[in-house]
Amino acid sequence: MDYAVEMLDMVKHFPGVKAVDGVTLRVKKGEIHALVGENGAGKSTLVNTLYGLLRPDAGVIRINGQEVAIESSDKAIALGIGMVHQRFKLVPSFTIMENICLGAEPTRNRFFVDEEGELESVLEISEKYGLQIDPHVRVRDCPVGVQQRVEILKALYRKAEILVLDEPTAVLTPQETEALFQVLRTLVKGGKTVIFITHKLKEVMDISDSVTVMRRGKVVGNMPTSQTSPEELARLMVGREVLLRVHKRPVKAGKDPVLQVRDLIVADNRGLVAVNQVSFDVKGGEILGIAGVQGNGQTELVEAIAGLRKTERGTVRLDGQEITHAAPLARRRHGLGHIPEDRITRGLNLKATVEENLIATQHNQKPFAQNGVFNFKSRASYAQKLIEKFDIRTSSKDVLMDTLSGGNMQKAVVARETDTKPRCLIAAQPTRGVDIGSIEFIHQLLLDAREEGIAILLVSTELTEIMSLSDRIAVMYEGRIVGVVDAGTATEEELGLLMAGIVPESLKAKKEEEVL
Amino acid sequence: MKSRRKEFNWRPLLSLLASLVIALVIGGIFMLASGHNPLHVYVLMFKGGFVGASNIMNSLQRATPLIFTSLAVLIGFRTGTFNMGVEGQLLLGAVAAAWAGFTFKGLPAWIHLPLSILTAMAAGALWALVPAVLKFKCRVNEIITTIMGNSIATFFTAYLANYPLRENPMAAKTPRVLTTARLPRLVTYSQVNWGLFIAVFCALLFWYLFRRTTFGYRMRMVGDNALFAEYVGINPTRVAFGGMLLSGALAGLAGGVEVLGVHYRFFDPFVVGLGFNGILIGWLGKGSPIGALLAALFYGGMQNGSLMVDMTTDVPRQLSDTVLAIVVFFMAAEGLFDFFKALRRRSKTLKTTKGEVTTSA
Amino acid sequence: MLRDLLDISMIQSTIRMATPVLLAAMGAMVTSAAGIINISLEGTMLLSAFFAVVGSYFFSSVWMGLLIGVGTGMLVALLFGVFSLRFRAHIILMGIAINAFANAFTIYMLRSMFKVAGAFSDPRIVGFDQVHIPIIKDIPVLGPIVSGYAPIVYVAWLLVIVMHIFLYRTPAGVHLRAIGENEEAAESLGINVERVKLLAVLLSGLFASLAGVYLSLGHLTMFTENMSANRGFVGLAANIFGRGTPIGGALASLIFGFADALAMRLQGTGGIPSQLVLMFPSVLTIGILLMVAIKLARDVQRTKLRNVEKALSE
Repeated sequence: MDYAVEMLDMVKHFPGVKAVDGVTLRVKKGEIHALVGENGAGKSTLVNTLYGLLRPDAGVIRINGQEVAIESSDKAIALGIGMVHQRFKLVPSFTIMENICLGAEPTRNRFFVDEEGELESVLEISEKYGLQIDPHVRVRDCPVGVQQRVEILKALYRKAEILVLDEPTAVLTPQETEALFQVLRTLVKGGKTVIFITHKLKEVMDISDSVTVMRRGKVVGNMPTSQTSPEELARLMVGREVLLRVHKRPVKAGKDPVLQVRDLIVADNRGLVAVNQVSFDVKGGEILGIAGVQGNGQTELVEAIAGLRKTERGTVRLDGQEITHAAPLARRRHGLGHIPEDRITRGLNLKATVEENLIATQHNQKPFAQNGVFNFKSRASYAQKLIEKFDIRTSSKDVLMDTLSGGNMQKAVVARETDTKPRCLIAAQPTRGVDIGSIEFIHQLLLDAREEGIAILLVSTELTEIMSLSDRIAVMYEGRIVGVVDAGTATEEELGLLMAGIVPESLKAKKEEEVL
Repeated sequence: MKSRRKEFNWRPLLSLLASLVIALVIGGIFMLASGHNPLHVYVLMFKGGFVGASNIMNSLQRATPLIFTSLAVLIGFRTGTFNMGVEGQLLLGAVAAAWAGFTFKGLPAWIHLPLSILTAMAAGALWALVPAVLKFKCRVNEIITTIMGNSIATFFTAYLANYPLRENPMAAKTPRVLTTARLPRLVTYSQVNWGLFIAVFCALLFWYLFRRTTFGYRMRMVGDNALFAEYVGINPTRVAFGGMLLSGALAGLAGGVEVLGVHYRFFDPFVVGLGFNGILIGWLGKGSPIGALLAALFYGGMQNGSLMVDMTTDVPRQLSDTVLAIVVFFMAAEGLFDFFKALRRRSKTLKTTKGEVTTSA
Repeated sequence: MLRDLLDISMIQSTIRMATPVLLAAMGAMVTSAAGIINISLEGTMLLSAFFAVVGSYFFSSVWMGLLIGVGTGMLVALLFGVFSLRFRAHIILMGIAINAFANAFTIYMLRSMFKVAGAFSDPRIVGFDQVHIPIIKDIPVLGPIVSGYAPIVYVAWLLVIVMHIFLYRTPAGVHLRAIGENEEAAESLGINVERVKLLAVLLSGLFASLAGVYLSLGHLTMFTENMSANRGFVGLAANIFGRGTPIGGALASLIFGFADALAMRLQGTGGIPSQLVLMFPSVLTIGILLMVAIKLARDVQRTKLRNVEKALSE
């Protein structure tokens, strides 16, 4: 068997988590191999070791049968590996030609860049692989689909034989996606090998020859594409988790919605539309779970509702009060709590003490401060109370926040956001990077909050978390809500397919029902 | 009261001492090269700064503007902005104080003096306003704009001293400020004045603000992590903007005190270097108002000592500034510490025998 | 009135005063192209100016002065580069420390070594001879404008063209600009970012030191305290004014040089106070920064609105 790439028993740790845990990946020469999995499954980490951006802790890599050690991207390029990253690495003010040849420019008389040579080479590969571009256009003026072509040409210019693409269609329109697939088919016909990371199962079926499924750092499936189906892939991707023990009692939800979102349009940092006319309600005593693969607009949705990102169109109402353009402080005063998806950059000030973090959202209020001066006694007793109540493991309330473990940091955030009994709580990835014990604790907290009548918007890429906690589940795909299901009756397959943009047959019938 | 206590970090202190030693050694080499005995000079310098009533008083006077400027830089820094324009804001404050001092006639001292001081602070804050607006409204880097502000301030105040505010055609200086606007001297044998008390008060005030008030808390949160601040409900732009204006006001105050307490007029060229030394000292104080105060006091002593050395030997008074610059230069190289640690670790691992656990560098 | 001022002597003065600013601007440009704000140009210039005089004095040779002056500048740049890049020192703080050191140290040495204060001038200091270009020097009007300067002046202005070619036509220049815009992109293609940045710092040190040598040995042959007179910072401003391009920087330097020359001319006569003239280019630079920032913000806003409209219509 002629394998272009063999990665055997790869292991890669990051502090606190085994990102890649004994993974074996074999890619035949001349095939398109899809690598699928949810967020955090380890796909990006795995290919980053292949491209020399990360060093593995253990494992063997063979390229075309030869065992190799890839210390840097240089080495990977020399071995014929080219990578197209999810976030493009292009120089905006340079032309397409300049970007393609960057770092490997042909020279005239050793000192000068040979611009004609550049042009020639670029046009040559462009022709050969059918990737149409205008070499003289500046990259910043190119649409995303063209930029991606430039990234591919970059790899081909360096004579890549093995091409790795990380979520290439995440930023493409359907037409652009089809164009990309044509290119990939041409490349493969010319003897190249392609590794294609994606979470879009339909595309896996369309384009790949074999597929490897990863889950939580391990390989859970590997087969020729012809022998599988989107349903099976979805099931493998999502998997059957150890049932987390949660006691979910039936709760009568409040009559009127606490949080009302209507036709929300939010842009991302690049100016593209990330949230595309999203509408939903959350009632008191109910958990609405927003499921979906990372990057489908959930982040921007949460930020817009929390007031950390501008809403372009649409409205957000809390208990009937419009807060669409209100500042974060006003939203909190109206009863909004927010457990952010990134506790380190948003949720906490690592350079401040535990106590200072715990009182942050109430620092201005009595009894913690009066007339601008702190009452340290009240602060201290409150902080101590929270530490005990939420089992935050720390040597003291006066140590700096960054000495705590991930799980305890998160418990601190959850403590702060829930203890004040908000009207509505947004919990975004509440158990990401958290140890099992703390996960259970936090899940129970969320359920307790639900019983107390708080409206909870749970946003998570962990499907089992969503399924065990939510009353209803809405799935986001490419900025829209593609389906809302009752948590009690939904299956993993249905959700997995929705997350991949496919509306399952079983739900097509229900589609006419009231979605809100 | 058991107040919050962060773990005491020995590293900065060690780093300071090590850098000080290196700097003194380098200075010593230069002195040897010009035929002086370094130890002798350093002892003289110490005595000149810290021994004897008039020396101590003069050291305190030298420290006064540095306390203000280092606080100014510190406040900007704690709220996440780099105010490099302290020199310029100081000059504006100085000329404004002089103007208020000689223009308002017939006011009792208890009105005239505070008024002049406030004018100085307002002028400094105003000078910081343009870079602040440019940064917060238009995302323009404040390092460049504040540095250019210094240039413009130098020329502008020189213009004022040479033309509209000029006392007489003989020299480029303003009229003397009226006695009602002067900061009283503390003793007859030195220029140290009430400005010192204001400076120390400011340092203590800001220590108190940062530690005990919500105002200081907000500033710290914004400076540490502006995203966090926004998330918990603080308005980072407003806080940082205010911080920059406050920084300018303190720099203006430094200039005002120089005029109202020492020189009693503004002239061209005015005292130079207080701003940049303030940046160095503020940084040495490691972001704490008390640290900056202590560093400023210590440096004031070093500077005065250097002056005394200049008068009794022929070692120039710039010795203290040279040493200060070298100290900061070495202290700033955080990586240097790790570099040496790595060297030590590497030699350690070479010495370990089989079976011992070695940590990866 | 302007007509009276625009005589040949004025143009010559402008070119002379613009030269050190131009060199500083080139130094600022090469580092800012790589994303580094080089505050240390001022101190480097000052130290080079001083040690150029030292070299010329002790060896009675202007070339030794040049050598030692440039050597000093490169040494400072090396320290600055290594400490900031390798030892992770705060780059702004490093720059300020170097400037403070230069200020204090040059005065210290002036008084300690030469036993004078304020300025040091001595017949033993050898300065640059003027370069008289044959044939051209005799052309009326053009001749005196083009010929008759110290060699460094010609080097400086030729440098503009060299830098233009370097930045846009050589691989090293391309890599430099790539690093400044998107360091990740450069790194992922195997470019050694630290090495390129260090080279940029060394180059800027070279240019700043040439400026310093010119100040003390070029037109006048002396060293005065604080001789650099903020030109290192003006160079930064000129680079921004010139939008980071060599030719832009050259034009900006001419404006600053003209202001300097004009101010000198106006001293003693009535009319506009020299300080206001000197102030003007800096104020202009801030104005330009403002305009550029506003335009950038507007563009981003426009793109966003366009996408939103598109989404709504689908």
